Amino acid sequence: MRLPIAQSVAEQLLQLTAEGLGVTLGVVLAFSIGLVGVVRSGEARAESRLGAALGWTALAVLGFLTFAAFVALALIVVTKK
Amino acid sequence: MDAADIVLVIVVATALAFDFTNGFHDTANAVATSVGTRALSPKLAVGLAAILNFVGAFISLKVAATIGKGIVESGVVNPTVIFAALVGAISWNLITWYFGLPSSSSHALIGGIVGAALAAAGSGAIIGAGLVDKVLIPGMVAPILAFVAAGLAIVVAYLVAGRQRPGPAIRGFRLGQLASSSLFALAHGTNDAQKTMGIITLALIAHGSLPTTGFDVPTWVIVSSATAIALGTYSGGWRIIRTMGTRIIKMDPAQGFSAQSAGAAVLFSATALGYPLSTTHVISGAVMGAGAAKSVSAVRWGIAGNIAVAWVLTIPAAGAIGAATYGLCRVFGTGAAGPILVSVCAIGLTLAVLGRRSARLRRPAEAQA
Repeated sequence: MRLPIAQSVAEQLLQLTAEGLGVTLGVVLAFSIGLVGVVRSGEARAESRLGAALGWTALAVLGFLTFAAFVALALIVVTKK
Repeated sequence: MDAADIVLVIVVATALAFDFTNGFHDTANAVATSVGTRALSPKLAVGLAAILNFVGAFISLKVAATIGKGIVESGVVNPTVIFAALVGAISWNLITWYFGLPSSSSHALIGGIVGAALAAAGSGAIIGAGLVDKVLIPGMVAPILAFVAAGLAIVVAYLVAGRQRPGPAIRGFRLGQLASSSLFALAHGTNDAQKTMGIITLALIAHGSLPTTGFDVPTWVIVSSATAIALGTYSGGWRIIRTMGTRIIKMDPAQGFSAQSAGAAVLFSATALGYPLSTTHVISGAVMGAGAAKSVSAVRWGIAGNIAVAWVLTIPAAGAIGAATYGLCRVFGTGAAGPILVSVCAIGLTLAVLGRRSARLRRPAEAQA
């Protein structure tokens, strides 16, 4: 009877590891991409490169939206279980 | 009101006092890195953490169930056992707070429960599998996981955003810390406030106020636990904030953001699985990981070692105090006399220690004036 318990604990720890690593890396990567987009967009606007500014702004929006999605996902996981 | 009712009132009051010390002691976990990197002012950081701790307490009840029915046999638990457990946990919290060590309130509580239950009914009272599978193993894995996650996260952050002009990048990560520290405070509320809810519910079951079948936490227990942890958080534990925010490593905002994000992700995931993790262990692991990934020598390993010693000592020390308290209470019989006398002595001792400490802090200031 010990084996199923051990298996269940191992599975849960694996889940904890996958979720912990996945969400952390996702959040930090998305936020960093958003930050690069904001900084580069500001630089491009200052140099009057409007096309580049638009592209970097789009990247910033994408990064921060992904960041927000990861946060929302974490909250949903906690509240639903 | 009979003796059992009086003991129950003392237990609920003691549990809420523990919850207050938990918020007071663990404020550092949520806000230390934000204060250390100057992303937030201390007052704003503590206020924000208090509100989010309060909100977080309403999100989940899985950890409360683990504390209430997964560690000791509920049949052998009586209100005096729970009272003794709480005295053990509060005492250890105050001792580590006095010395500025960020130890775990959660492990102190679990140690207190195990010690008091052992003293009351022997080793048969302990659910060994629950203690190992739900507390000890996750307790060892979580700080290592937070260490690795924060280490990888800071590498990713530096790779992606490290070549930007330092000014805007630092400001950006400081803003990011507003989000990451808020998430960590919310995660702290979801995991830590539930421990008190579990304890009070267990006391209500032992008293006969709630049925032994199922594990339903009454609404008044949720609201009072959330309020106590939020008030404790607002009161702040500045000594521990100093240790966590600046003394383990000198952090930049990107490291602070990475450490808090890793800590929050691990805590949220653990809460969903019902693991009563130590937020202190998780954030300490994350802070060290974020520091070691940049430079192994940047981590002040001596201070990290002191924290590790406090971790190892927490469960046995709180357990020993819990067991001794139970024994002391039983000297006065099974009624309310033991818990009342112990409460009076504990309050007197705490006030004496706090008075001595504030007098010692006042003396150098008066000498300078």
